[in-house]
Amino acid sequence: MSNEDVPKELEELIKEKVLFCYQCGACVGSCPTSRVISEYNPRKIMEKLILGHWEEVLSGKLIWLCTLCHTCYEVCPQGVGISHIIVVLRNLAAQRRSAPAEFLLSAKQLASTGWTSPITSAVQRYRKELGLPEVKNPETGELIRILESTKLKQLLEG
Amino acid sequence: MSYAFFPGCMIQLRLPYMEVAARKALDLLGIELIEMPQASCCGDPISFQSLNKESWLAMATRNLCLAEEMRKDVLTLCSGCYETLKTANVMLKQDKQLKEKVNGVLSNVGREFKGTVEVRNFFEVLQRIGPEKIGLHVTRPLKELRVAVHYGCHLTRPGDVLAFDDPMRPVIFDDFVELIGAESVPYLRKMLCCGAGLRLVEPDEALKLVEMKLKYVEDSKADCMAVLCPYCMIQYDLGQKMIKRQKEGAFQIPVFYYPELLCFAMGVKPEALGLRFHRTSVEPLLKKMI
Repeated sequence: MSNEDVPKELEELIKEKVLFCYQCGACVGSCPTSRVISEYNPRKIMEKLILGHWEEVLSGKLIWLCTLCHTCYEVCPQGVGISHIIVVLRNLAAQRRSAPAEFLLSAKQLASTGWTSPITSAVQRYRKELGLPEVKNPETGELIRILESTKLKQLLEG
Repeated sequence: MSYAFFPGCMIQLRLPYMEVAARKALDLLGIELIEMPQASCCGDPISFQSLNKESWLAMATRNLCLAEEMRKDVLTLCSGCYETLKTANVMLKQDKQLKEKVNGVLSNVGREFKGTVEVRNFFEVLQRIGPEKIGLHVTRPLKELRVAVHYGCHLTRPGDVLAFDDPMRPVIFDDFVELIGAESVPYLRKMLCCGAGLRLVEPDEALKLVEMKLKYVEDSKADCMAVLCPYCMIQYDLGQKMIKRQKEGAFQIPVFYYPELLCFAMGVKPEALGLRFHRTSVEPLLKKMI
């Protein structure tokens, strides 16, 4: 768990943002997930990052429980930007292939049809009944090229 | 006024009745909606952003490029799309380096972000029409209707990027509920998240967040809830059917998409909307309202 291995993006975030956290707990007090899952505690996640235990944070399942409601982002008196840090942590964890399968589903669907929900004949009928135009797929070639050039395609196929 | 119309995946493909209400309301108010045949999913602020932020921004920006070609501002119906598209638009306009990076990705598909359009949510479009003008269309004010407004997270947060209303103490939704003659009732934990972002991995715990809020809404004696986001709609409308309460009995709180309420107030016949597709019946309340 040596500090030399800290991904650069995370190292900078810790230095510029996380180290300013003084552990007041405004984040956990306003966090929806913490209300229903007591193990989820954004203050403790920040504490672990400050103490250098970033490996444990990245490989654990807790970071995937944030709803990204950005309440902690708003209430933090130190401007730590916790929900944004959660996104960075998730991106790094995803690169190491530890994103939960549920998070990969909608991106896979997007790659195949352009939408995150499937276009079923039932929904087209439902739309017709309501007088709405038919939904069409965009040409997915462009979308797939974007996924490839941002290296997400490879992750989805993994 | 006309907009590049961006209903998003959830509304188009899961909850088209929300699209019907938004289209009808805006049509009555003289707004023209222009289809975007090559649009894709906005980029999804929860699952997609969590996997790869660069990919998420590029996907969002590609959609913005389509609107730029049309020379039209974008109207989003879903707060998730609003957060995603507006974040991409604001960040790329502010940060030259980021713009170059995303344009580098988009050059592979022959597109370039220029920064020539804006992203608007439903309320912003109503604001631009003007409350006075909308007031003239309200022929059937929803008097005595007590509404528990649920803002949802991605309409106002992150506040520094969306810069739409106060991120923690917003007023705009309440104002538009009162504009159509209804009462916006105070209730506890009004800004509590619907939990949709948690449903992906912990559906049972996410449902507890739904139950928590519905209990406070029930305590407030509101007649119904109003939402502006399809994720919040699914959580409260379908979610309350999934909650099995032992002592108190099942919840029976109709949940409306704000444009549906606006349609009622402007005299649209309930049959013209897809009300039967609500999972929690709105029928008993409809009799009281109209």
